[in-house]
Amino acid sequence: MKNWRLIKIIEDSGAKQMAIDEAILLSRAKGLVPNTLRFFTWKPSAITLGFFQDLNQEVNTAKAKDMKVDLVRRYSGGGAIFHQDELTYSLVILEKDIRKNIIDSYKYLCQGVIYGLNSLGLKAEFKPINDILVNGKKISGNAQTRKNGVILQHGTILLSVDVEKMFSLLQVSDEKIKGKLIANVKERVTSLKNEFPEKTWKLDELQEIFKLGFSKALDINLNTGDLIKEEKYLIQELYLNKYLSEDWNYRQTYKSL
Amino acid sequence: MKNIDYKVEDGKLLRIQVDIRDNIIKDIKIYGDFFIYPETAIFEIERLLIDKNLNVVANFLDNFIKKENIKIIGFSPKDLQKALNYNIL
Repeated sequence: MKNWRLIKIIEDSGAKQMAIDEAILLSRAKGLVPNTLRFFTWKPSAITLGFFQDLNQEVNTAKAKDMKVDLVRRYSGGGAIFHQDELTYSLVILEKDIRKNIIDSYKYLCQGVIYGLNSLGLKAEFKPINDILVNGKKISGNAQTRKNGVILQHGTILLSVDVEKMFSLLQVSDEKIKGKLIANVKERVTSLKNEFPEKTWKLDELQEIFKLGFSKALDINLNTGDLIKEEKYLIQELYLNKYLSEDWNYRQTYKSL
Repeated sequence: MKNIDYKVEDGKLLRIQVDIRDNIIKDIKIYGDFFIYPETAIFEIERLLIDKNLNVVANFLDNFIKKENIKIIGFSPKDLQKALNYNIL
């Protein structure tokens, strides 16, 4: 069984979380740290944008400012996500440790979330390209990037959904909704709150459940650890110079950041 | 610049801003919720599409991603060409 590092829940802003993810990826590529799984939450609430999305097309930026919701573009592709009441994971693993193509690696790595959900008694399944469903409804979205031989995959586990707030912030195109099997977002998205209306989940408790899920699914040992000095330095750099910058968040420049 | 939203069947949503004159792409930004590996290839793709005829988009992109070993998930080269022509039909 391989040894991985587990970094326990960090609560912070969107820009900081994205900086942490990339710093771990870069440190893994340099061989400074082992494969790593971490959990985190968003404070304040945040919208993350896929690498290829246009902020003004996807988000009502004035509304987001009013509602004190952070905006940040991710290193990974995929869609815009409103992060509020959720537990988020990210994992960093060498490409050569899984030797799978991109589609298969999504499926493989998402098994950690699926095992966790199954252990709660939910019937969870992977839906290509990058979603996890419970009873046919999306409970988790996942996105992956690869750089210097390292995979970074992060994903959400929805605790509850505020569809009204989400829609007031995101500009969802009619086309996309039309293309979905179920027309209404309330009908095609679920959360732990929806599945267990009576239960209030503690984040620590969920962290344990999904930690176990990943360790079983990937057959790994998760040893609790901390970010190292080099990572902390990189986080500061990436946070200030990349994830807080307009160049990055509005994808206005062609230079590769 | 025109905006084109094109939902790819069993794929992602392309949201393109494009300036087309006489079937030639004069400027283009390709946005959407797709995935490209490596991500930074998008800048090269957008740059190289300029001055291309709409009819050669699929062929060009197909050759380019093969040559550069780029992976696109959520749309195919043909989908991009369809999306650009979708605007005209």
